[in-house]
Amino acid sequence: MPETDEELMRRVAKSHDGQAFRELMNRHQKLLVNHFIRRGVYQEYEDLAQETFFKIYKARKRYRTNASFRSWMFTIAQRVWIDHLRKSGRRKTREDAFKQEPQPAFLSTQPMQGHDLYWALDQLPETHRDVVVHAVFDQLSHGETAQILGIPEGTVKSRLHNGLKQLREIFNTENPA
Amino acid sequence: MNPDLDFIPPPPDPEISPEFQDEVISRIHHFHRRRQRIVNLVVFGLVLTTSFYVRRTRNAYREIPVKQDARVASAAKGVEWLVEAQKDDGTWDTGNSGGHAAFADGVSALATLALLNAPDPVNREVLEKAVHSLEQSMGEPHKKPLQGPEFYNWMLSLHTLAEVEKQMPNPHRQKLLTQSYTNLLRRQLSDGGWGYLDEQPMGYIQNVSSNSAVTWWICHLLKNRPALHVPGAEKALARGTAWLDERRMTDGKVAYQSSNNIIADKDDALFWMIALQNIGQTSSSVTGSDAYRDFFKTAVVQTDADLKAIQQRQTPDGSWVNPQDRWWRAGGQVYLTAMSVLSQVPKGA
Repeated sequence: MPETDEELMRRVAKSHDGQAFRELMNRHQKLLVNHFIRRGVYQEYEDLAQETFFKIYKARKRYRTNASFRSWMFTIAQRVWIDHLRKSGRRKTREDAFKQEPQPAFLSTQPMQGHDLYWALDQLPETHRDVVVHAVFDQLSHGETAQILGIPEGTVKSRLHNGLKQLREIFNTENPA
Repeated sequence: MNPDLDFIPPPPDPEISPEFQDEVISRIHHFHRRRQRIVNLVVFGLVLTTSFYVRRTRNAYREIPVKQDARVASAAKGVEWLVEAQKDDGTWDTGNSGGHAAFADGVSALATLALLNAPDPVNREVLEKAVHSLEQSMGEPHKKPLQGPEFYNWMLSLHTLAEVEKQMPNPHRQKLLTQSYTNLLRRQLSDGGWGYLDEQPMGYIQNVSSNSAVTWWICHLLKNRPALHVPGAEKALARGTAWLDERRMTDGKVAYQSSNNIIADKDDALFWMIALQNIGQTSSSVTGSDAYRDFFKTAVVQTDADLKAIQQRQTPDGSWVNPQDRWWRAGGQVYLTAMSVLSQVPKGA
């Protein structure tokens, strides 16, 4: 039976276990990269994911063994994200990324397409988008999302409801049945 | 995904570079190296600061000359000479250094007492050898006859071993000391004093009669004995002290015996021995002609002039030599050096 994330993290915290840390990266690197892309990082998403793993390692002694590793990882990712925003000034949109050279390979070739998830997410207010990214795409619970974003759980629920409603409208408008 | 979210298309799968993990690991290694460098830097800084501080402190000590107490220096040098002069069996030779072989045990006891009172502790092996030889010389204390030189040898050995026992308790030695004190109590005379028990007692007076010098010594031994159970000791001490008090004359001098035919004044050791019981009652200075007397004088009143006078007679090799000393022919160089050292550090008297 494979070790859980928490067991691996305990090994890292206790004995600087490089193999366990690589296994954690194997399991979560794609999740983290997608997390940052969904939040509008189209160029440096790998850098931010790496920064998150690096900070996880640095903070390994503070990892509480009863906490969910995923939740803790995204808490650190949230700080990395805030630091990134502080440095880069503002969040980039899909259009900004499309205009950049070279264009990110995973974006569709057209500047705006109705089925483009990133474009759709760009249309959401920032507060709603953060909740949707954490609760839907990162698959965190409402409680974990509330803790990471520092807002009440009720606010998470209402923003998630409204965010998904707006997202559905965007897709229905752009892709009428 | 939740069925309500079916409208959301699957996200494209961005390619992650193959070096993704290696770069994180590399950063971690770099982080450790950097932290180690910082730690090294802090340690180096601490070492540098400490060595600078130590150097400054050391320099400060160098700048201020140490004012070594002359009497400590003199005593230390004397002790050094005594250590050098000690024989392999732990005793000291009196016959070849101006004294008489008959007093070798007593003189060895004096030398051991000087080592015990040295300003800097002497090598433990040296001291243990000396103590062991003294214990051997005590033999069977209950059979000791208290005759002539043997009396002094035995008294001084007992006095020294009692001081050793206070510092280094030992069951074997306690048994030896208890027997010795018991032997002394048995020899107390009917008038409360003690005297020589031989026929030719140092040329003073023959046969059995109480004597101030002997009584003082035995009272002194009983008064300063280590914590031992010696039945009757307190009662004997009280009687002996009362006898001594009766030997004091109205002019401050001391009679050697009941007959008052020999009187001790400031030129005699006995005067100062008795004066120890009334410290500071009189003043005088060391004479340089009786180290035994001068020792007791400095034990009563120790003036800078006394100490300086004794120090000035010390020879360059650390010992004291004076063939004119009253007891030179008995104790020689070892006796004179031990008594002079003890005069400089007058404790354990």
